Amino acid sequence: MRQLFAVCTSVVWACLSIGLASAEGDIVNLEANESPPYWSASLPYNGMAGEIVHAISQEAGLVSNIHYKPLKRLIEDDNNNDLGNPAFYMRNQDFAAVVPIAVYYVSIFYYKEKFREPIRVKSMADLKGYRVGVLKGTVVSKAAFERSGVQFEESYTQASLFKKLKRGRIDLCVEIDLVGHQVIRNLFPDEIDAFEEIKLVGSASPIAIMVAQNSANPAKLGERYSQGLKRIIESGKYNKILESYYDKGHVPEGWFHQLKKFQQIYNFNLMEPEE
Amino acid sequence: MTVLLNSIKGKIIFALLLIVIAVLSSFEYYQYVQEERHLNQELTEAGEQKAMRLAQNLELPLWELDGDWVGEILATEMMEKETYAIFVYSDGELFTGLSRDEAWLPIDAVNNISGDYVFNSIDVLHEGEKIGTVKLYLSRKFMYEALWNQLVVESMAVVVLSILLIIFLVIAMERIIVSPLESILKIVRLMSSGDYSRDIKTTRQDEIAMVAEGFNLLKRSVQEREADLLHSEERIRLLLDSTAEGIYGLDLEGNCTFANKMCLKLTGYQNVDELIGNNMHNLIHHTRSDGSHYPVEECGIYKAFKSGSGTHVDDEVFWRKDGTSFPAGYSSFPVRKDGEIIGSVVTFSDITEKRQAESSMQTLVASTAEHVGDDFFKAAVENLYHWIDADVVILSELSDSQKARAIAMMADGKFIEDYSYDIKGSPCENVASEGICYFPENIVNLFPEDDELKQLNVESYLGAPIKDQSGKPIGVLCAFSRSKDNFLPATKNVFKIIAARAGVEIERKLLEAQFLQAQKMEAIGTLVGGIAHDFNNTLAGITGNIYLAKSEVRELPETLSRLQDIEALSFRAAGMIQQLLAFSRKGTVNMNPMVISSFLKEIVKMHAVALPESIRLSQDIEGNEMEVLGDINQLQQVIMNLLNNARDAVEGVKAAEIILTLKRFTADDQFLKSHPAITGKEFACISVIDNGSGIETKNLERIFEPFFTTKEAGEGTGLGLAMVYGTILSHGGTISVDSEPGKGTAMHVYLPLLNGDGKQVMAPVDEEVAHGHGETILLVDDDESVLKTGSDLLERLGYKVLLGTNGLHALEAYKVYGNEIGLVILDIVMPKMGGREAAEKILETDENAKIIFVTGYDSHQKIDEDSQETILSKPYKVHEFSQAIKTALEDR
Repeated sequence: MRQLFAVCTSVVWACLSIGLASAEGDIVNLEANESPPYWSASLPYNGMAGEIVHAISQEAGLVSNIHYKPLKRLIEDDNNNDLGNPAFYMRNQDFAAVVPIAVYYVSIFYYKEKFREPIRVKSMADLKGYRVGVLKGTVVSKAAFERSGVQFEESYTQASLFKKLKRGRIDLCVEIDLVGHQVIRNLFPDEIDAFEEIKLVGSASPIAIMVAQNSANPAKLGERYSQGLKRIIESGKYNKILESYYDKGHVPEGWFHQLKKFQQIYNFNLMEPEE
Repeated sequence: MTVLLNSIKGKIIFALLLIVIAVLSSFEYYQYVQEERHLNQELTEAGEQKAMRLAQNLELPLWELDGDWVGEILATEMMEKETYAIFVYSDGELFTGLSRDEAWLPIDAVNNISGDYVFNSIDVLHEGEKIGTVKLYLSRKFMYEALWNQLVVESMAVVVLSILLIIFLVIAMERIIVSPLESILKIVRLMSSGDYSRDIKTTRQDEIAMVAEGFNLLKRSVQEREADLLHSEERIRLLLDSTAEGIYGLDLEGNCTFANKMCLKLTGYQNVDELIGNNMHNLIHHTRSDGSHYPVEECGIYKAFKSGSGTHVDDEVFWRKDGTSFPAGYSSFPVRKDGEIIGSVVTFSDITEKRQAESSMQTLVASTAEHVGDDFFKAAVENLYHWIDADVVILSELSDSQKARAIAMMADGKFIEDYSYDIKGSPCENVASEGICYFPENIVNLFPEDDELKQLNVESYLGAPIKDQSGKPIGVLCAFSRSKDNFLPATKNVFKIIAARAGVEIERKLLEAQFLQAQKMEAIGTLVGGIAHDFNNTLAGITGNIYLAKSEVRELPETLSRLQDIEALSFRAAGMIQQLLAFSRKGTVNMNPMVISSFLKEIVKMHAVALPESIRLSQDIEGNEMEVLGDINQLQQVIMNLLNNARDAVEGVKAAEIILTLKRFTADDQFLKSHPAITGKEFACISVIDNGSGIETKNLERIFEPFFTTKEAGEGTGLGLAMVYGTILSHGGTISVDSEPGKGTAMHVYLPLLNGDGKQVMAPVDEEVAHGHGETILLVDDDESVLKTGSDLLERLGYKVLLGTNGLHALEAYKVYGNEIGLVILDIVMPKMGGREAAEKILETDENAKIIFVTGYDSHQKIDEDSQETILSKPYKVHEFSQAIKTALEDR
């Protein structure tokens, strides 16, 4: 299962990137892909991750402006400050600092009325025989799934995935948990409970602020964001933001553990001494 | 508009305009319909393609159930203005729908479209499975807008074209037609006012030039006609004034419209103005001849144009200006114009002279008609001679087609007797063939072949045919004058009347002659019949005795020879008697049906042998089926007599020829009338025709009389044709003769035809004397010499003989010796009781009695074909007598 979500990590999304614009004075321009409820210009405080960025910036004495671009352009632009999963950006761009600020999890959703028995997914083999929907462009190695006997079907939008799920055109769909919840709430507000979520163990991935090398004092900027994060976690503001999206008591267990783990992974300063 | 349409130019332009508009409109309409159909087709095809494309484009969005994506595609499709609405269904439910609002902007809509749209519905498939439906509505609005715009533009073009056409036509018509026509009209107006001085001139070669030329011709024609009319009026006036009859015209009121000079002369007026406009009935026709008033309503002239038919009156009077009247004959005929009567024309003349002539004519006819027979003929020629002032009048009968014989003739005041003339080449030939003829002058030159005319030295001729009741010309009534045009027209009618009466008189004369001839022949027949009977009895005694004497002098050859001469002379005398009996029709005849053609052929065969080689005998025998009832021996004698006469007639003639013909003849009324004794209509006509000397006309009526002959003494008995005559009459036929001296004779024998098979043929003569074997024969005859001779002869023939002198003796003898008597020989005519009555009595007592009759003649004994009686004529030849006895006895 861990292998599955290693793949999924490479699969999923193009939407979770964080751009950090050059910090001139107190204003930092960041670029992200529209990925509600994490990043969205239409959500209050630009979504959950956006609200965290703004909260961090406020603590760090910065003003962060988030600009939205398509994921592909974000990846191809080597000089911007990105917001999102560092795994997508670091192949093309060297960043001065990567500050993980949140975690996201991948779940499998299905429409309960279509099945008599609850579906259990422990490994890739459990997906065999199902039609599995994924967002187009998120499957890195389609052949690997096909070799495992998993029948994939790509959709162009998250909404399509869930509509098709309800219509029975696909049996299962793979989606980031909060994204899935958000789509279900928007499309089928009266049927939220009709959809079942299977949380994939080990599917946690980081959401980070990536400061470009060409930014002014990029390391210091990174540090200021790190400090700002630390302070809002400590002040409980961070937790409030999470609960506003996960509901109180539903923030995934191990969130902070995973966050810390990722902070350690992308703490270049810490890693370098280890070398 | 009315002015425009009243001109040819306007009509042509209007018509052309209508045609152009109609053609262009029709073309436009056709174009419109074609374009509409084409655009509809395009729109339909476009709809189908669009729907198909939509179905393809919507496959993924609909599979993905991506409303935005679907919406974007639909929005793109709605950019085409013809697209009125698109509805996309997913799994049977409306997924997205767009339609148009009033401003033709796309709006979300549900599918409640109604109206005239091009509609297409097509399923959306994903991997072969239906996942939805797209329904597309295309509007025809823009198609019709485009069509309408095109129609408006083209209509404007039609209007502009029509206006240009009108302008062009107006100018062209003005130059080509109107202007030249106005020039022509100007000249025509001058012509109508009588000015013919100018021709219509044109340098063109088109129809207008033809019209101009036509008017020029018309002008010249009118000029000529006016001149002709003037000339014609003058001629008519001259004509009217030159007629011998008065002529005047009337209008419907009876007023005079014109009158000729003769009208003025006859009515005594000097000037035509005295008549023109005045009522002619009141002027000249107001009073009848008896002085009574003549109402115009009863006037024949008035009735003529009232009834619309012509009238002719010749028993009224017209009144002169001086109050005197004259008998007038007038004709009045209506004058019509365009079928309507507008008046009448009256022609009249003074018929005073005509009346007088008619009166004289009636007197003439009446004075002639009171005579009959020869007196009539003489009265006719005498009255005509004096009345018509002729120099010669002849009433003649046609003896044949070439000759006319005057029955009565007066020339230069004297009756002429025995006058006959050839009519060939004479005016009488014309009369006989064509009817009444009048040659007013130069008659001698008109008929140069007629020498009689030259001798008479005449100038004019009038002739009328005399016909019998069947209409056949039998004579001519003619008059000659030495003056030109000497005979009045009314004379023709007199000739007609007298000729008609003359026809009756000639026919009556002919009938009387025939009757007299018949009476004469009958009297001769009676005379010779009586003589022949006694003479035959005498001959019977002579010949019987000669037979007996011959048997007794066989040893004296010289005596026997003389007796044989006496016997031959006796039988020759008997032959003459037979012919006399045949003429008188008192001989015995044995009538049997016979086929006449084979009979004639046999005779020709027999007779040809006896003819000299210089005479050619030919035959033309038809009708093999014709049969007659006849005595073959007598008919044979008839034909032989005729052939012998013909032979004698052609003697000495170069290329002598005798023709024997047989033809079927159907008698017409004329033939039956000429031969009143015959009955029936179908005859066998046997003709013996020769080209010999012919018979003089004066001898024709006597040739059938006994002993009349033109042959030299000793060459003929004068009994041949008499025998022929009697024989043919006894056969119910008749005989006629056509003969012309120097040219030949045709004798025609007519025998009534019989229906049935011919039975009789000529039998060979058997001259053997048959002898008896002692049988007893009762011989009865009132002539003692016959009785004695007969008795001796029978005994010589080997019979026993009982004798009787009348029928009573015969009965008594048969009562006593009936069982012994084998045969009774009875003379038919005997005193007290004749042979026939005696035979009946004998047969009453013995029905098997055998009887032979002998007779000198028996007027009652014409034996029919069914009779079994045997009759022998006296003097009988011994072999015939003996054979008859033998046959009778063997029958027993």
